[in-house]
This record gives sequence, C-alpha cells and structure tokens, in this order.
Amino acid sequence: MNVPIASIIGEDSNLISKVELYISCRSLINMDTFSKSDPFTVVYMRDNSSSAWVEILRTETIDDNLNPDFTKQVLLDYHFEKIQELKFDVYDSDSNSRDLSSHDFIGSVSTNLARIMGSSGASFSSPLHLPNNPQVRGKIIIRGEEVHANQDILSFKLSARNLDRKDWFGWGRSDPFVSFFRSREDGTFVKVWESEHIMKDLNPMWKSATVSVQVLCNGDIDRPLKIQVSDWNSNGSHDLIGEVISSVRALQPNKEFSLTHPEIKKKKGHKYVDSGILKVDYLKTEKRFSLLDFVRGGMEMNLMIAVVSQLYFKSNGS
Amino acid sequence: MNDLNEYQKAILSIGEILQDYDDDNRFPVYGFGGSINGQVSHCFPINFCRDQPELAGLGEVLGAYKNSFQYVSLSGPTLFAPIISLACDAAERNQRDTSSQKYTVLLILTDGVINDLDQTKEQIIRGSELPLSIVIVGVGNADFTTMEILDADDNPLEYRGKRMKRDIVQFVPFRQFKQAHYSLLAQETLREIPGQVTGYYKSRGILPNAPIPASHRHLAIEQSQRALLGHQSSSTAPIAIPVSTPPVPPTGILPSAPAYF
Repeated sequence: MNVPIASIIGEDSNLISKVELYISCRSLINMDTFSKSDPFTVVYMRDNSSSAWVEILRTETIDDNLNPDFTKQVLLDYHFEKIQELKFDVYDSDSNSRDLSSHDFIGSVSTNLARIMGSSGASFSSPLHLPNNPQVRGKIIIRGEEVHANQDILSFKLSARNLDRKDWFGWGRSDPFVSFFRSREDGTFVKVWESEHIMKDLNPMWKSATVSVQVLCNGDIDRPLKIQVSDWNSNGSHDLIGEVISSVRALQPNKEFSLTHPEIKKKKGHKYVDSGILKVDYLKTEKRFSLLDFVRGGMEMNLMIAVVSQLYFKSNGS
Repeated sequence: MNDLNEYQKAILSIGEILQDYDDDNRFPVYGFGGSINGQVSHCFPINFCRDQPELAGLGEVLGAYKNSFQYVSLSGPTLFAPIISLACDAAERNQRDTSSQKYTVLLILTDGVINDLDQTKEQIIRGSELPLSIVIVGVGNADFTTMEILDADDNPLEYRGKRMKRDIVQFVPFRQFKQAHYSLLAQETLREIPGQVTGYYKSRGILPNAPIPASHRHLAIEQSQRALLGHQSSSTAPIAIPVSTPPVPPTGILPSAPAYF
C-alpha cells in the first residue's frame, strides 16, 4: 500500500477547514408592482484554471421580503493559500424556472472567502449593484462560520510485550513497528500513521507520537480503527505480527490489546492465545485551534516586504 | 499582468492573500543591498521615510518601487540580518502587546546572494520564538543553495549552540512558477503559514480571543446606522498601479544609520 503518510499526518499538517456561509440581504429594491420582491441568491465560485464562474449553490426563494435571511448555506473548503473568489447574484423570482433569464436581476457582488472570514466578526457586508452601474440596489450580508471538525490532537506512547518472532523462521527477533489504519465509508482500511521500527526487540517501547483525531477517524471516535504491529524488513515487505480492530474512543491510558494474527490463529486453532500484547502507556487528548479560530478572535496578519536592490535593476533592464 | 516583472508578481501573489487579514492594508516596504547618496544601506524604507515606512495598499507598493530605484545604486555586500532583525523587533513588540494578536509575515525577494549567513541564522533563530514567519522568494536563475539552507526543512538552523524553536522560513524559487499563473506562487509559499501561526500560539499557550460576535442584532444595527448610499468597500477596488508618482526627494530624510548598519 502506497500512502503518502507524511502528507496526511504530523503536527504541522494543516487540516482543511470547512466554512459555512449564511446569506442575508437588507433593503433590496422592490421589483414587483403589487407586492414585494421574492428574492433568491445564486452563489458562484471562480474556477482557477478556466477563470470561469461556476454556480455552486442556489438559495431558497423567500416570498414578499426585502430583508431576507436565507437558510440554505454555502459549504466550502477554506484554503488560506488561495484566493477563492465568490460571486453572489440576487434575483427576484418570477416563476419556478431554473433559467435565470426568466427572473429579474436585483444585483450582484464579487468578493473572496478570505475577505469574508477576515471581516470583523466574519460578517461581510456590501452594496448590491448591476454590472457597471453605481446605483445601490440593496445590501448583502454574508456571515462565515467555520464548521468545527474534531481538531483534537492525540498524544500517546505505545509499548508491546511477548511479540511473536518473525525473522529467521521464528528463531530471530522481530523488528516491530505499529501502524494505524482508518476505516473508510466502504469498509476498507487506509494507513494513516506509522511508528518507527525498533530493532530486535520483542518487548518494544515506541517513542511518543502525536496524531490528529481527524486523521485517525475523520472526527468520528467510534469509527473502527485497525492497529497492526508488524515486523520491519529492509526490503519493504513487512510481516504482520498481530492486529486488533478498535476505535479512538477505546484508546485509553493503560489499556491493553491482545494482538491476533488471523492465519496463525486459524492454523493453531484453539491452542492459539495471541501474538503479543499492545499497551497504551500514555495518552492525552489536546484541543487544537485553527487559523480561523484566531482570525475570528481578531488576530491580524501584517505583511512586511523587503526586496534586494539587485532585483529592480535587473528587472528594469538598467 | 504581463507587464509586471517577477518580483512585482511575487509581491502581488502573496500580498493579495495576506491583505485580507490586515485591517489597515498598509505594508512597510524595505530595500536592501544598495546605497543611497553614496551611503550603503542594508535596510532602507522604499519611500525613504523611516518614520512612516508603510505604504497604502499593494498598488502603492508596486508604484513606490518604480519610483525608488532612481535614487538607489547597487552596492554590496548583501546582508539579510538587518532586515530580519527589523522584522523580529516588530514581532517582539507584537508579542509584548497582549491586548491584541498580531502576526508578522516577512516577504524577502532575493537574487540568491547573501553575505552574512551566520548573522542571518542567528536572527532566524531569534524569530522562531516570535509571532513571525519568513517567506523567501528567489527571483532569476541564480544558485539558491544557501536559501535552501535557510528554509531548514530537513536540518533545523543552529548557531552558537542555539537551535531554532520552530520552522518559520519557507523558500521558493520563482522560476518554478514562470509558466504558471502567478497565484500558484502564493499557494506554494503560504501553505505552511496557518500551521506556523497556530504553532506559535500553541507554543506560548495562547488561546484564540473570543470571537467578535456577528449576531442578528449586529445586522440590525448596521442596517439602521449605515446609509446604503455610497458605501462601497475600498478594498474591493481593483489594484491600480500609479503610472507616475511624484518623486520623493531622498536627501536629508534618511536618518543616520542605526548601530546595525
């Protein structure tokens, strides 16, 4: 199995934040003669490769209301390092048609996700306009909120004892390491963490490690977690010593798991006890905050720029 | 966009992302590795105004460069430590001010030459304990081996027995993005910043401040207090690069060099 482990685990790996946007409008101009406008909003995101606007959401229509608070919200991945351009077009609904040309265009605003999240209280407001027309046709308020995934970090230390011998046809000593596998929706397992291997030791104590709960179980601490102890081989084909299927919730200090090797168990039948014991020596859960948690609390980032003089001479051709 | 040169594109790429997290949209901008009126300077404000080195918006930043180079002549050596020291000073002030949370990102644009590697390491190690990240963009086709050392992805920097506390430097050569859209440069250089920011606050045991509420009450107040007419966010305006900025007379404005120079 070829999983880029380094890219999905580790203290500094950035979990993708998810953000919800709630849309409200205020003081929309009235498009209907005998009643008030029936507004809905279409949300577009700029596709960075084609630079075309792609529709990502249409809110519900709220009848007879010039100050609507839409309940249908936009769910987006937040990428700090990218400009995520968004466009909000507000229409007055005149029929049930999906075709936007059969509705009256009230106004539009373009912005980006960082500007919304960086606004005071993550509440961005802007007047609505028709393209190339300065007349204000109402106001839109977009409130952003980070969807709180499980940001906890698990710090733990594992050890094992009485592991089966794997090298030299059962005569040598194993070089054991631990791996964690997260279960996927389809029931298969994908490797998400691996310890260092310890040479020639059937009672190894591994170094303490940290992994995010999100990585281990996608935030669902009852999801099956497969733990394997294997014998490391320099040629890359490692032998399973034993495994257990548990969950993040079951990982508790001093908890012991008996490790089973399914094939040896089958072969030995009722005489088989286990292939070793895995023990949680230490475990602590730590709350972790995201960048957006700090931004929401008013953290500011200040950019300072320095350019070596060589560059503007070179680039200006003088 | 095509008439912008590499360092201008680099400034735009990174500035466009970070400006949305900066309330006043003002950026201090410095030059180094040059001399002004015959005096070598390793850290001069690009507007030659040491009391007010900040420029309003990215448009002004790019414009000021066009204006400044007529007063600057090339002069070695190229020192990094003074500018990083200045950023550390700013970050130290922000660290002391516990009433607000401010994090500094220093963007250095370099041609690869560095004549004070040891002192630079020393300043980066100092910065690794401060609310500071450093993004270095290498412009041109020079050899950037030394910049890779400063990036320190594999080997944490060490100088005189002192080791850096956390990774704060990201180096990227611009030539990797020559054929690509300039925004990809920011994606590459800023990807690690969120982790560096949260890592810093975690290392100091600092929690996020309570969120500034955006309740319906807030919406109601806004609606009643702010007239809709004419209210347009200035930050939504496209970046305009001033074609001709009135020349800034450099004589006499530049104060005497501090001890570092």
